[in-house]
Amino acid sequence: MELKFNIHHLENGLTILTHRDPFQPLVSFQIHFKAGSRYERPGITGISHMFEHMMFKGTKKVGPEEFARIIQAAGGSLNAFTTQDNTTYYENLPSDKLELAVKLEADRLKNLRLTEETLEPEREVVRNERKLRTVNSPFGLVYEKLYALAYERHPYQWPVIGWDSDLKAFTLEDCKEYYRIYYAPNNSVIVISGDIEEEKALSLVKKYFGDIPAQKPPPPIVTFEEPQRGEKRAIFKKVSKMKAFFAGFHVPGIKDDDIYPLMVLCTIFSTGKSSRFYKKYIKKGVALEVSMDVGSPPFISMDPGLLIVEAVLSPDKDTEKIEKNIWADIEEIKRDSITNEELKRAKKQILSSFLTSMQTNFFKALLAGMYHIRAGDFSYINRIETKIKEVTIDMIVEVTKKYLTSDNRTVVTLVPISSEEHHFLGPIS
Amino acid sequence: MTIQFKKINPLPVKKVRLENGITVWAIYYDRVPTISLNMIFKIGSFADPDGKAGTSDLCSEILTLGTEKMNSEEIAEMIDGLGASLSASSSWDFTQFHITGLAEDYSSFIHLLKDMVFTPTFDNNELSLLKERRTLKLMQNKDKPEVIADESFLKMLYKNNPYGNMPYGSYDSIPLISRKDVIDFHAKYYNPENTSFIVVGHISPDDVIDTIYKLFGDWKKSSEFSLPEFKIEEKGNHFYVIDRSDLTQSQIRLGHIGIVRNNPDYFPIILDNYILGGGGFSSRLMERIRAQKGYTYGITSSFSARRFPGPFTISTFTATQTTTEVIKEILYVLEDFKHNGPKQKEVFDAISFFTGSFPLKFETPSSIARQYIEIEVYGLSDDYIETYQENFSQIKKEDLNRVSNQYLFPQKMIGVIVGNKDEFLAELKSLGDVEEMGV
Repeated sequence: MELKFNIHHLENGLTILTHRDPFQPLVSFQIHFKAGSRYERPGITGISHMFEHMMFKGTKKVGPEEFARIIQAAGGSLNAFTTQDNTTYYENLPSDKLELAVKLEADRLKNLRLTEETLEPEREVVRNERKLRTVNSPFGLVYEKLYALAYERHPYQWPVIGWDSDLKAFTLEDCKEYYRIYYAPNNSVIVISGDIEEEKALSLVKKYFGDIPAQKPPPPIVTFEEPQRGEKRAIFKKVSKMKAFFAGFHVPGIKDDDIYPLMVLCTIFSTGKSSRFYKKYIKKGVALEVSMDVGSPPFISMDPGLLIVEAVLSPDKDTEKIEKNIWADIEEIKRDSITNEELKRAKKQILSSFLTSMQTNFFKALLAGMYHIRAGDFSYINRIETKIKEVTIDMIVEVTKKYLTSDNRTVVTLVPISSEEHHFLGPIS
Repeated sequence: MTIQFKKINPLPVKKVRLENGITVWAIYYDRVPTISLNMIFKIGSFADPDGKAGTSDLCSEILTLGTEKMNSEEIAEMIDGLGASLSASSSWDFTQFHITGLAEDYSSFIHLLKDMVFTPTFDNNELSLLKERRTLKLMQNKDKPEVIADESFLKMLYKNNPYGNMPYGSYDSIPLISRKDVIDFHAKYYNPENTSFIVVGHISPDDVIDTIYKLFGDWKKSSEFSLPEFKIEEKGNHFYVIDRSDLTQSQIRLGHIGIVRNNPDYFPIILDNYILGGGGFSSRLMERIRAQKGYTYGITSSFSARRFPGPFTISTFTATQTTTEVIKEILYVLEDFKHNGPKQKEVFDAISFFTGSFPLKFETPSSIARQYIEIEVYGLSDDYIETYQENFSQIKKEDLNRVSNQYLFPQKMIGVIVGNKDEFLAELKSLGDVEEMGV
């Protein structure tokens, strides 16, 4: 199914993508910035995400959190999220209220009010979010360890939410600098998808965004990870009922064609109850979870990312043995064990799930916007279906041999400990 | 001020009731060639046998793990091979078999459902593996403070009532459920008069109904069955603390028994709750506790309106050191709201939200199906969807003042806190009775 987006540009460098779908009187308005933890440095990790929060703290005209109240009172829902590669703001609302979203988004791009009074409580909100999602969650800290170990140079080594010490340290000046550099029209893409008249929608964007000046482009990210030369391993101890291990294999980014056979490989291993891991480990209660994941469109990283194999086991199981078995399962693929039936099934699963995601304006806009930011061209979205259909067993065997090797692997094992040992090891934040 | 809103674009809908009592809703959806097929039984975990929480839910899943025609692997291969997904689960009030996939595969899906419900094998080996998977999952839940808080709150609020359990049961109850228990549950409650189909997809409603009639029309009504008695013992002003010294944050649940779905004040109550704590940044609790104080990342309140009175719950988390302060603040907001009610602008904005956002529930087959499932399970009127926006727009500030006062009880709260007790226990005692409990 082709997804038709039109592309437009304003003089200040702003890119606008539009898509018409009159199914319901609704529209999704999104603005995506080339801003995320990829663009940070040690000392200010987490500032991209922190800044996402600050964008709701009001402008010269709109009070703190009033943005959300206005959109909701118009029957809309809204939110924002930060990833390694992009920061995205969106409003899903009745199509006759589009102007409201355009006006409010432009306002906070021009007139954001950044003060100590709004920064300080929000800093605590974000530290609370970090506690919730990472520190007190079963595997949050283990994931952080995995990325910190797998990447030695590239910014993907630190978490999107940032290190707690950095969250406590960065200043209002850091925020202001970040706003100036990254929240510029020439560093962003607007996507409008829904029951719209294209000309009208474009004129609204011109009216409110047209006078925002372009900024000097942000400095490029020049640090790249060199190929890994040998397995890396670590242990992470925490209070836990379950044992687990997480392994990451360096794989290419969103623009590389190898991503498609890797997606099919992951599906063969871990999507649905007919998948290899489900039948061998989960169904029989050998493990609670075993999965292999390389991400799915548009959530595939811009720069070379990690394909993650994860296993969660009950305390009576032998982690080492199960890990070995899983590596043997992967070796089997290299010996050409995939059946035509498996290949056909995996492709159908991917394509059907892709089609299902096209049911909302929100997801269609997300797909176009994030691809435009991460791959540099939204039209990649219309290649996905063909690329998946073209995947052969030989291609899967080839990418498995190329990327799923022990030398390219980083493994972190969660070792459960008692509360006493936890306190002995010192505080976690 | 008058409330203005865009009405939803109506979708072609057909409803029939078969002679044996089965209701079918077929809704035509042509945005993409997909389908959401739902078979609903108006029975849920409220009917779980005593001490065997999770029976209803387990019964639904075992039906998907083997029929006389296909074993579990063949079913999995069929579903995955069609790029579809199949799930079966119970909530407190109903059981849902849900298949999503391509509309062109409707016939395969509906035949599979028939086999699952009519000729399940209740395979012994499958059942013991299923129970093992469930208990593993429940063991892992003990690593999730938010789940411990949710489960313990219901337990303390409802005590031995079935609403005091999660529909998926507990680590202790699952091993006690036998093959006979699930077979009995199936025999007793899987009846045509208890069954509805909600089908939303790129397929003609007439075809949907014809096939269901052919496959399920002959299903005989069974004898009448009686529903279990539902007793609630209320206890107020009591905090339960679960000590987890390894945590840096406390999970907090506060609340009391709430309302049934058929409460005539349902619309004003959910509107009122939106202003109190259901409306994200438009709510009083979020404004006070996150925006002004920075004590949490999120706080919500909700009335879970059910067949029998469901819980009213306030749910949040905060750094260990601010635990008592957050509870104090919540009680303060609640007292103020009960006695003074919302402001006119808040009421206007909340109504605009409910009327304006209604079309967002009609974007995907599954979200559309959810609306009709609610109509079926709670016996709402057939024109519920058509009149929804209009009904909301008629609500007045006085209605909300009345329901704030009538349905909120800040003096009768049950609280559960999961966290490092050494940091907050002494202070917490100033707010009411405190009792420590294990998981």
